Formats: sequence, C-alpha cells, structure tokens
Amino acid sequence: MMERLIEILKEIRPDVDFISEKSLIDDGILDSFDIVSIISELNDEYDIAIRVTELNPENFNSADAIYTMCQELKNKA
Amino acid sequence: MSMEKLTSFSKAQQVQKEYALKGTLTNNYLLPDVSKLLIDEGKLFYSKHSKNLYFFEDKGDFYQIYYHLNELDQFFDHFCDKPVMMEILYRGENKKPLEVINYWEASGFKQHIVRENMMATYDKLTLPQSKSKEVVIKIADSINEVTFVQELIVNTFDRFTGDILSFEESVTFMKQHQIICAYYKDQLGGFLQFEIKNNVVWIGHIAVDETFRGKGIANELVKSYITMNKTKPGTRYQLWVMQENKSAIDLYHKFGFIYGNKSSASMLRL
Repeated sequence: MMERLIEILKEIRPDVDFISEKSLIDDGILDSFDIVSIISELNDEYDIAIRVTELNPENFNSADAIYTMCQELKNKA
Repeated sequence: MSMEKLTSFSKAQQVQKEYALKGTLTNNYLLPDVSKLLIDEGKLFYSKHSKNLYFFEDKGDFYQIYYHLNELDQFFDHFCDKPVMMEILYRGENKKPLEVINYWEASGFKQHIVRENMMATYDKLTLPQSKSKEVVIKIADSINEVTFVQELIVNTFDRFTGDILSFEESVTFMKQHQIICAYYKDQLGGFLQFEIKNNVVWIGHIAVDETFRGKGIANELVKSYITMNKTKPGTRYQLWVMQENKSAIDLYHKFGFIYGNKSSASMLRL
C-alpha cells in the first residue's frame, strides 16, 4: 500500500521526493490545491472519504503520515 | 435557489458532508483555517441545488464560487447581485476538465483567463547577465513609490483574478520590504511585489510601465527578487503567470523556472 501511495503522490507532484521529505506542509512543498488533489485520489483509491473541511493539514506532512491517516480511515469504515 | 450565510464552521462541515461524495467534482481548496476565517468575517455563503453544492466567497465587488458537482445536468441558475467567478484548477492541458467547463458554460459562464504555476529552487536557477546598466533596483520606501505600484496594479491586472491590492495592503508590503522598484534613467518604470508563505517566496505582482518595456527592467526585477530572498540552496520560488503572456513565460524559463504542474482556468458571469 505504501508503494502505491508514493506512486499516487508522484503522479500529482513528480518534482517532490516523498520518501525523504517530512515537512511537506510546514515547508510549503504542498499547497491547498495539492492537498485537495491528493484527497481526491486517495478517496478513489482506498474507498475512503476525506473531506476538505475535516482534514488536518498535519496529516499531510509526510508520506508516512498520509499512510497512517488512510489506514485509520479504512479501519473506521 | 437561495444563498445562505454560513455562521459556523460546523455548519460548513455538515453541508459538505452531504455533497462531497466519492466522484464529486470540486474546486474547493479552502482548507479549514481559511474557511473559519471567512466565516468569522461573514464572507462565506452557500446554496444547494439538487445534488450540487456551491460555496460563495464575497470578494467585495464579486463572488468567487467553490463548487461540489454531483449532477452535471442540473445547471447553476442562481441570481447574484454581483459578478460571479471561479477558478478551475487542473494539472496540464491534457487533464483540462472539459466536462466541468462545459457545465459552467451551459450555466451562463464564459471562459476568462488561464494561468500557469511556475516554480524553482535556487540551486536550479541561472541568473542572466544584466542587459542594461541604466536600470537601478531599490527596495520601495516611499509613498510616491507605493502610489506608482498601486496605479500600475489597477491598470495592469485583471480585477477578478489579479488579487488587486488596496493602497493599505501595498503600504504594508512596503513596510515589510517586499516591494522592489526599478528606475530607468532615474524614472520609476516597474516594480515587483513578493511575499513569503510557508517558506515559499511567491511573486505577488510584477509589472513594467508600457513606456519602459523592452529595456530589461523585468529581468532585473526578477534577478533581484531571487538573490535578495535566497536563504539556502533549496530556497523555493513560485508564481502564477497568464498562459497568453508568452514573453513573461519565456523570461521565467530563461531563469530556470519550470511549469509547476498546476493551471487555473477562470470562468466568469457578469
């Protein structure tokens, strides 16, 4: 699942090294449009529902954090 | 269809929960902190029509729409007392969301301006030689310069997509040393205003007075903007540029900026 997640993220932002970057939001690497694009892809891929008004930007600071969030949402579903 | 003012963030969450579904087409990139601020300022409204939801941000003399579309045959027929615009974001021309553009055209909107995002990090940039020794760059520090900046912004930028600054906002940028002016033979010819958001140095506005174009002023402004903001090899720079402004795009390419994999098509109903 992590490998597929990295693939999804790279499709959206091919210029970003999602394996090493740990401050994607804090360092301004991802902006709100990137986050919304990622949400849309994750919702489709994992059949979960992340809504923009409900999201916590800190969950998008690294691929690991995004992965953990998806796992938690899948377990809740 | 009537427009209702959002008075709490929980209400925004509640209405969005009903309409933001799997497969919903949306341009809503208002993150929670921005939504909360707009609600506190009384600037965020919404309306529902069949299975579609529209948020309206009151931008003063027009509204900006953030949509959640689930039924593309249920057109937007909302009466508004001011012009209405929206930004449709997409990644590359081959991913332009034509079905959404068609929906809004069928709802009475016209395609307006397309802008492209460009980005760079300092270590990927090259700083070209100065073309003219007659261009002098300085950081704005006078009301005379702010007045020039303000007039050039109003006369150069699109009122719906150009983030027109108020005089007070321009003064604030001047006080933060975020406006650079260019003089050509001692005459004020252009400016660049920038701001730093989340460690990214954004060009907010750059303009050269018509009389002074073709004299290397934009080149010097961009060069100064890059060098004065460099804090580390990985310093990030970004900007939006109109797709039809080929000379500006060429200039940024010359410095080493690349397409940021983001475009924005604005649509407008007057």
